[in-house]
Amino acid sequence: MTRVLLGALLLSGTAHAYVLYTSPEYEEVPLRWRTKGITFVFDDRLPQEIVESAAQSTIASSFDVWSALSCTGTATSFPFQNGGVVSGKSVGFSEEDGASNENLVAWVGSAWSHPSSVVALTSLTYDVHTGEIVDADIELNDRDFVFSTDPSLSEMDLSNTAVHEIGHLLGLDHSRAPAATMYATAPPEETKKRDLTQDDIDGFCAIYGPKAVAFPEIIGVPTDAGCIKHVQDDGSLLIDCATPAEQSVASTCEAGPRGAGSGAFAPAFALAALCGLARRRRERADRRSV
Amino acid sequence: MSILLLTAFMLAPSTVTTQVVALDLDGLVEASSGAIWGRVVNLDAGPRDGNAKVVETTVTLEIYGRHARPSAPPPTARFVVPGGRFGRFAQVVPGAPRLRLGDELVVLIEPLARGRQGVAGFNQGLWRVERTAQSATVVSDRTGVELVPAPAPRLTAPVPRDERTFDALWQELATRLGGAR
Repeated sequence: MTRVLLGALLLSGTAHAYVLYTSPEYEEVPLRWRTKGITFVFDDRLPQEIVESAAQSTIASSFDVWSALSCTGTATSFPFQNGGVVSGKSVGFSEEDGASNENLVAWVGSAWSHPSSVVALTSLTYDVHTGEIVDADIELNDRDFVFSTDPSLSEMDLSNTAVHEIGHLLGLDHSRAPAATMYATAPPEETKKRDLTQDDIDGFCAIYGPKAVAFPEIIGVPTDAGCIKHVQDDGSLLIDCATPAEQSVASTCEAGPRGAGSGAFAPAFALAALCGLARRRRERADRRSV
Repeated sequence: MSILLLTAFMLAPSTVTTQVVALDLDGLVEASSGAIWGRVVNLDAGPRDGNAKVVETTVTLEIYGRHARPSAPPPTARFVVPGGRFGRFAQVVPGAPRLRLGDELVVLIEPLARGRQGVAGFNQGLWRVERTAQSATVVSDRTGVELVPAPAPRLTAPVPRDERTFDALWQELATRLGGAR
């Protein structure tokens, strides 16, 4: 799994601390929702120490923190719809049963199946070829931690935790800025993650702002055999799955001498011819995408 | 490639203010039943027991060494990390370890529900072994931790990453866990 933004930062010379989650198959593709705006629902189970209405309103307010931000002067909204309380639902994603794929916020209790030191986590399910997030669930570990909506208590602040997890739900990874909401650790009583820092907003804007890179365009049907990717002028990807047989040739051409080992042993004239053929195919594909 | 990029990013002078905070080893050892050292030889993604909508990956190591608490059974060569690919979809959990075949690791093991083993501290209890002709160092990617509580006394000075020699870490784990190599 990769964090392509780091590479982009190195190339641009601009230091951002935020990190975007990217598809391991296509490092240029950040994970994100195709439509700005999603519906979330609450699981009906609650820890004893929290009043239901307080928990829901706190978490709903935490979604609001991310819902309307300014990206280089342009108002960028990501509206969240509160779908209310549901029962008998489970986190995760089913390709067969789409109706069960709510974006669930759940208190997991004794069913917590992750290490005990984790306060909360977010699972994202996405299309590996486009990076489109199709489902997200937030799990809160009330088996090992006591949550509170009152910052004066020496417990895990629910809003502090929720705002961070919602950042993951939007496609953000952990920031390297200790002050950021998307920073990884959170001591008890911490409340600073309730409010976004500029680094968090910059991360959001990189995904959903006016300068965000468009979703990849796919030609053909993606298969495990792989596809050829082209970075277009606007920075978006064209993923050509129509000519998978040429992928290895194209990869060799694009990777150069340090690429696929087999290319280093191919006769030079044959390799050049194959690369030329692949290049012409790509140019045709590029024209189709305009 | 991602690790190289990560390293380069952290060494860049302009990123001094974006370093991460390391947690100490005490809490990690406290949560663990033992440690294993080995190389990833298999990654098997599949539905989690009890909820087919959730995918987790079982990681199998070729074991080179292990430490266990005297009172605990030795950790096995397998542990789980959340997420994995299924068809055209994949599930990820930010903060969880991201592994590849061939990675050489030292892992502090935490027992999980249903007899599974996980990484203590989610990601903090996992070090990658980086070898050169002269030495072997272990590196823990501190960016991967997920909202692990960090009480003030446990905070140490910000460091770009936790890096030490392999021998030093392995010996320290042996001492703390009371096991033998």
